[in-house]
Amino acid sequence: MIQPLLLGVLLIIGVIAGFIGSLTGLGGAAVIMPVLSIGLGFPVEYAVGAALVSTIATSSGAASAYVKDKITNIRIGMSLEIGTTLGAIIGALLAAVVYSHNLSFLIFILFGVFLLISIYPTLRRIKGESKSKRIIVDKSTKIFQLKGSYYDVAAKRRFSYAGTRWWLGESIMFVAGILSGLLGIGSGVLKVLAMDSGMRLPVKVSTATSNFMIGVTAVTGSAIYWALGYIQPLLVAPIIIGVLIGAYLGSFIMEEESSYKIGIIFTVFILIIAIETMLRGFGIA
Amino acid sequence: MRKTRIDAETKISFALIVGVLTSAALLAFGIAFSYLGRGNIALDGSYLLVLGIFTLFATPIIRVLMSIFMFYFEKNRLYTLITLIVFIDIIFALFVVPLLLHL
Repeated sequence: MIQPLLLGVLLIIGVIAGFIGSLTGLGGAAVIMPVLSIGLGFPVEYAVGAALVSTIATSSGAASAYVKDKITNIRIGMSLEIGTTLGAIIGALLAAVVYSHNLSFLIFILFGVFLLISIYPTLRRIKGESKSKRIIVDKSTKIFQLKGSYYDVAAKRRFSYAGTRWWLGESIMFVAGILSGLLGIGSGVLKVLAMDSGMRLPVKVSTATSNFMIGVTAVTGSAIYWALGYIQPLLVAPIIIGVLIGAYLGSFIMEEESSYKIGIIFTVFILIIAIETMLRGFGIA
Repeated sequence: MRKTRIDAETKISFALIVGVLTSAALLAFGIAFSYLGRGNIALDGSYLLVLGIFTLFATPIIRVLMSIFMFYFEKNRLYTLITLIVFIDIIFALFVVPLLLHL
């Protein structure tokens, strides 16, 4: 039977994860998986399962705000979801293979590498976008209805945009889906990258749409994780509650632009976690 | 047409908030019951916990479902179809894959 102290610890871990996740777009699972598996010694399958489910919480919590603001482009998000959901199914099945063959060290290494790679794009995103993009269209813009606009509260005006290279976006989304199902992460970093750099969408739209999409990807992977028994209800429950609280708290800070401080703290934090994870993967520590 | 769009997106937002709060409440009670109802069959927390997790799972699924209707009423055939495909993917992961895994 789980002790109240452990419940409290899990709750706090969730709050921190939700807070960082809502501020930076990276962090929910990045914090939870290593802390649970390396820090608290839970079996890695349960850690990944908890991380993936918490990602749904972060996504639904954040999306409830963004969708109302009408920055999320539901059309673009849904069309790209075809790739992420398929990828998530494959990723989750790959995870099953990995764990059943005792290859979980691969997960740790991949996880650490992914975290390291994610630092730079996330820092760039926190700093925000300085210039608006020129509007370019291509064939896919018309076919997939990738045009849209949003009202920027800060700039006090409406921005129009057009997405391009849908195929590139979809391909990256497929990879993002696989990583999500395999590592138990949201792959928000890859999603934003796919939309921002790949499809030339504004950063704000990419971020909001990514938040909207992540939950859908995560639930696809979670469905399979549930069938595999990787989701332990009593372990997951306090984390979910914590994540929701943390994400809610984080939404207040979103408004202010203390990017530099957040960036530094974030980088150090993720670096430590990434190194720890890779060390574990390589059999040290 | 713009007015319909506003309503649909606000509805989706609302559904998400309701879903997330319901899930959190179920989970909180589930934890309480699991801890306090040790040995007492009447206070079975695990049922509430599972319900809470499933409710959380439902929030993205409802998102997709509501979007299908949103596109349908906007008469957007392409996206009604696309969103339907996404929904089928999720259903596949929820029901077909587990069946295949347990063969």
